[in-house]
Amino acid sequence: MEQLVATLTHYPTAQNLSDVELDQQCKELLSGCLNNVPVHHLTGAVGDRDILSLLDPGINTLAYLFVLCAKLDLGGVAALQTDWRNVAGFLTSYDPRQIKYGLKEFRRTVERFVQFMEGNHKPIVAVKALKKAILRSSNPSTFSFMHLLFARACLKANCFRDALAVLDIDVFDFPLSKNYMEGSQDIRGSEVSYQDVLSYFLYGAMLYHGVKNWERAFDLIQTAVIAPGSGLSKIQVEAYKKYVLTGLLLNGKVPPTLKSLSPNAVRIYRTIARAYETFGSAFMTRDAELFSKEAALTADTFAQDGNSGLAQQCMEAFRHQQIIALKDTYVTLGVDEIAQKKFDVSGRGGDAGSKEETERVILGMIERGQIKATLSHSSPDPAASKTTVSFAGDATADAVDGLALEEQIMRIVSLSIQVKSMDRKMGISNEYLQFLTRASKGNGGFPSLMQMDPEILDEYGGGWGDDDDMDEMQDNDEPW
Amino acid sequence: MSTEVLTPQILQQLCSSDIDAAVLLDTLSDLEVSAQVDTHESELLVAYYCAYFFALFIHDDLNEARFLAKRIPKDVQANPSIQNAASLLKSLYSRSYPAIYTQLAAFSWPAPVTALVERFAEAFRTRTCTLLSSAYTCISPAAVAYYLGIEVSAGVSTQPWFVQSGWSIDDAGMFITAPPAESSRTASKGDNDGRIHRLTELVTHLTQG
Repeated sequence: MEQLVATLTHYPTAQNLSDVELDQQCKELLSGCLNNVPVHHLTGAVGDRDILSLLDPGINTLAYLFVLCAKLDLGGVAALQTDWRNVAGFLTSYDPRQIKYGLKEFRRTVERFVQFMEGNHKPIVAVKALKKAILRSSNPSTFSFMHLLFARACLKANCFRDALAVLDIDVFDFPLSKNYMEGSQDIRGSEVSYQDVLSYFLYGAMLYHGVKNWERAFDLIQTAVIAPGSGLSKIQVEAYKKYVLTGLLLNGKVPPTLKSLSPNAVRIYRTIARAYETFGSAFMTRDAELFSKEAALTADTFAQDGNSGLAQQCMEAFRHQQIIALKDTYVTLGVDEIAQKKFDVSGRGGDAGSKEETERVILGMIERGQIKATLSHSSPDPAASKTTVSFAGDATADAVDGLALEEQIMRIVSLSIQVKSMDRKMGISNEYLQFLTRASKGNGGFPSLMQMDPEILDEYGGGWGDDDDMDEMQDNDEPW
Repeated sequence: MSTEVLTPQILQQLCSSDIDAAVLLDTLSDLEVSAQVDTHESELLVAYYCAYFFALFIHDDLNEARFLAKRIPKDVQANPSIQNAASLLKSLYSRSYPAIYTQLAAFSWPAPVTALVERFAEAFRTRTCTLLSSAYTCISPAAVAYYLGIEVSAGVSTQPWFVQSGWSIDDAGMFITAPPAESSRTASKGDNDGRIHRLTELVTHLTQG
């Protein structure tokens, strides 16, 4: 046993090893020890000390993972009762460079841990640990099995603020799919399914709904709605229902038909989510009475779908959108005149819709930046005072808009760089090259140039790039 | 994770220190696992959750405060201090300004949290004053009293908050607000020139693709 512990603690020999050296040492540890030692040896003890306590999860990551996984394999739930803290501690301190040598064990350990914490009504423990684990991974923008577990645990634990730390990182890349991996000898543990990805985007949007970030929620849910596939999944249908309501909250209108959707998909979406489309159409009429009636008619459907909360938000947003629309007609308007228009359809009762409450609503809209306006009282006497609202932009608001524009452009630049990188990566991937080979067989041995990516052409010097004259002509072309 | 253990000393230290609101919030958030798993002392738990509420209030994150109210264990939720915090949250969420000031003054809070309560009361009043400055060009004394929870008397123009806000009082007795001081999000003309230059570079980068 002492010999085993000595081997486990020996690797890696130093903390600052190069990738090549670490690769060599991890492979040595796997072939020389971890893959050959009986599982019950890994769960043993030296004297009265558990092997885990002799290893540092941040340094001896691979050995620690195998010992931990062995304990859970043999001990099951009973082992988790005593070792969940070790798993949580491991997730917050592991070395991401070593994890790829034990992905199967890593996934098994994490999934059991999350299931155990959720089963014991402590999903928050899983949330905190997974958050650190994902942020610690070598590339948090690559989708992993942990992303879905994390989003689901956040919803169960009501941990919305923690969720944002991960959700705010755009997902650019995905590991191989489960279907692809099934035919392979090397099932590594990193594979994810189509449903996993869709569920992540749906859960992510729901988490953004919780913090009322409609813009990000719309982005994520749109990704789930337009995900390509041979048919529509139930997850996508649920996403579409929320998509319509999120569009109302964000822009005050039913989102337009997405061009990338097939006509068949659009037809199915609209048929299944007819109540949502009708609700949205009533919202857009700006007729408070009609919208109230439609909201009452669709209330049961929304309750059954679990979308009552979003629908209620739409009721609140209706008034906001109506007030925002007033700026297109008026420069200055009395708050009492706005109150008389009876935009309130929330049905909250109390002083909702009164002059005072309308003033507070407008103040809240100014605070949130939903409207550029100023308020003004006419008299120190509250009984005689009339409040007017002036719809106008000001220099401060313009400056903030400029900053927002700059931030947006920075984000687009970042996305543009990622897209170029992905384009290049996909162009040299095995799947794409196999596709080209198949395409070439069906085309008399020559791949169809129309199907080829310009990046690939640049990479391999084929196709248009061979036409020197054309190249030269293009290089010398002056801008039009 | 095992090193982050909630103790009365740590909580007292956090509440009385003058650390940045975001850092305070992150630290309290990291202690939540310990609170839910390791801490069985009711008094400490109540103080911890009250402190967490006020850290969220100071940070103006009412959404998360609503979810925190749902995360608190059922037996702790029944505690009067936690119920007070939940009532205050409701008033903040519904913008019931008079209720907010009344509750802040009337409710009793666990000893370690009192410093945070004072910090929030100050921050909330300052934040509201800034909001009024940007939202109103002319505001009646009654509305000022309503929003800021103060008595507007003859000597109001000598009070520190009034002097700092840059407001004035006209002949009719109305408060003329002044636009809030430029925050870090706004920029001067010089910055604007630099920004236009940066935007041009960024657009050039995008069109090169």
